[in-house]
Amino acid sequence: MAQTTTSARDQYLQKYPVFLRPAVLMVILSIEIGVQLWKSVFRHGLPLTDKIATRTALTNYWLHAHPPRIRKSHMKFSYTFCLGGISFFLFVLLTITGLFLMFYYVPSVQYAYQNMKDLQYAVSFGIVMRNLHRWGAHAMVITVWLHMCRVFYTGSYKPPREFNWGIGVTLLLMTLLLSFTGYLLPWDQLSLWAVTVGTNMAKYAPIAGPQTRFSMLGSYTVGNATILRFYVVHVLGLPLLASIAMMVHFWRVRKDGFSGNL
Amino acid sequence: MSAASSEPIPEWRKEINAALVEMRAFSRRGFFTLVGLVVFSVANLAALVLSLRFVIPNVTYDESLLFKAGVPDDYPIGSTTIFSDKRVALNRDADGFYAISLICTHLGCTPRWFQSDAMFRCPCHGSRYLRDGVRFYGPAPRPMDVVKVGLAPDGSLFVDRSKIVARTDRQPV
Repeated sequence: MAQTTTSARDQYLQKYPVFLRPAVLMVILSIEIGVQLWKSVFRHGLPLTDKIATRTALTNYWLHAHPPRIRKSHMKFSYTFCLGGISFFLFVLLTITGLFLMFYYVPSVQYAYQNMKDLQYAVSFGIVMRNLHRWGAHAMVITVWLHMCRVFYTGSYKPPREFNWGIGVTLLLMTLLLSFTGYLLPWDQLSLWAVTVGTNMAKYAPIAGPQTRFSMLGSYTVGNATILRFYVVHVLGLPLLASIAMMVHFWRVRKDGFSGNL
Repeated sequence: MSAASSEPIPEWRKEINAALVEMRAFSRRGFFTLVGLVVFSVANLAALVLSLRFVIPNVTYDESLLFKAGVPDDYPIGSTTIFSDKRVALNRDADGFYAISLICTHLGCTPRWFQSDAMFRCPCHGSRYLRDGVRFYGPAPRPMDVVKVGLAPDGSLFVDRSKIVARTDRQPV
C-alpha cells in the first residue's frame, strides 16, 4: 500500500519542474497528514457524497449521540419532546453562565449579596448573565422532571434500560441538589431561610440527622462556612459528578437504543 | 433448577471459581491476592472515614450563645422584648424574667412577635405561639425552648442560649 502511494506520489511529482518539487511535496504531505487526522476523528473521508456523510454521522458519537437505528414512530418530536436534549442544553448554558458569574462573586457573608446586586446593577450585561443562570436553573428542574415523566409514560425504564433509569434518577437528584445549593448563593432572606428549612429537614433523618445538618452547614447556623460549602459543592462537586453520570447516561442511550422493538 | 443446571457455566464464573480455588489452596498468588484485597479495602475504608470526618468541623465561628441584655429596669413588667439578631424574646412578668429561643420547632425559622395579637407567628409555615412560647397552631410539634436568663455580678441581665431550662424557670430581680 505504502509502495503504491509512494510511486503514485513520485509519478505525480514528475509533472513538476525539479525546483518546484520540494514545495509540491510539502503540499502533498500536508494534505496527506490532514486526511489522516480527519480520518482518525471521523473514520471516513470527506463527506462528499450522501453515503459518506451518512456513514460519517452514524459512526460518530459526537455527530449522532442517538442510536443509529430507531423506530420511525420514535423519530417524531412528540415521542421524546427533546426533553433530555433540552435538559443537557440547559446544563451547558448553566455551566457557561455560571463560569461568568464566578468572576464577580465571592462566596462570603460579607460580599455575596452585594456581588449579586453588583451583577444586577453594576456589571455590563450582568443582569442578563444572572437571569440566564437563574431562569435556566428553574427551567432545567422542570425539563429534567418532564423528561423523567416522558421516560416513565413511554415505559422506557423497562429492561434493558433499567440501569440508565437509575443513572437518570441520580441525575435528577443532582439537578435538585444543584438547585438547592445554588439557592443559597444570592444570600438574601429567601436563601437563608430556605436553607435553614432544608437543612432542618435533614436533621429529622434517622441515626445521623443532626450530624448531617451540622456537616452540611459547617456550623450550627447558616453562615460563612455554609455559603463556602454550598458554593464549592455547587460549582465543582455536583457539576463534576453530574458530568460523569451524563456521559454514562448518553452512552447508554446510544447502546441500549430507544424503547420498543425495531 | 434442572433448566439452570443444564446451562453451560459462563466463562467469567469459571474464572472466579478458579481464583477462589487458588485462594483456598493458599498458593503464593492466592496469598498476595488476599493481602492485596485486604490492604485495598482497609485503605479505602480509611479514606472514606477521614473524608467524612474532614467535613465535620471541630471549630466553628458562630458568635457566643451568651449575650448581655441591659439592666432589669429597662424592662417593664408584662413586657416582651425581641432581640431579633439574637433570635431571643425576653419576657418580664411579675415573678421575674424568662427568655424564649425564637427558633421554630418545626423547621427552624424565626417566629415574629405580633404585639397587637400577643402571639408569635412563624413566617415560613404559619406556626403560632403564645407569649410564653407555647404552640397553639400550625405544624410545629412542640413549644419553643425557654433558655437561661441570669443576673451578672455587675447587675445586668444575660441570656445564655446554650442552656435550655424548665418552662417555669424565672429569674427574679
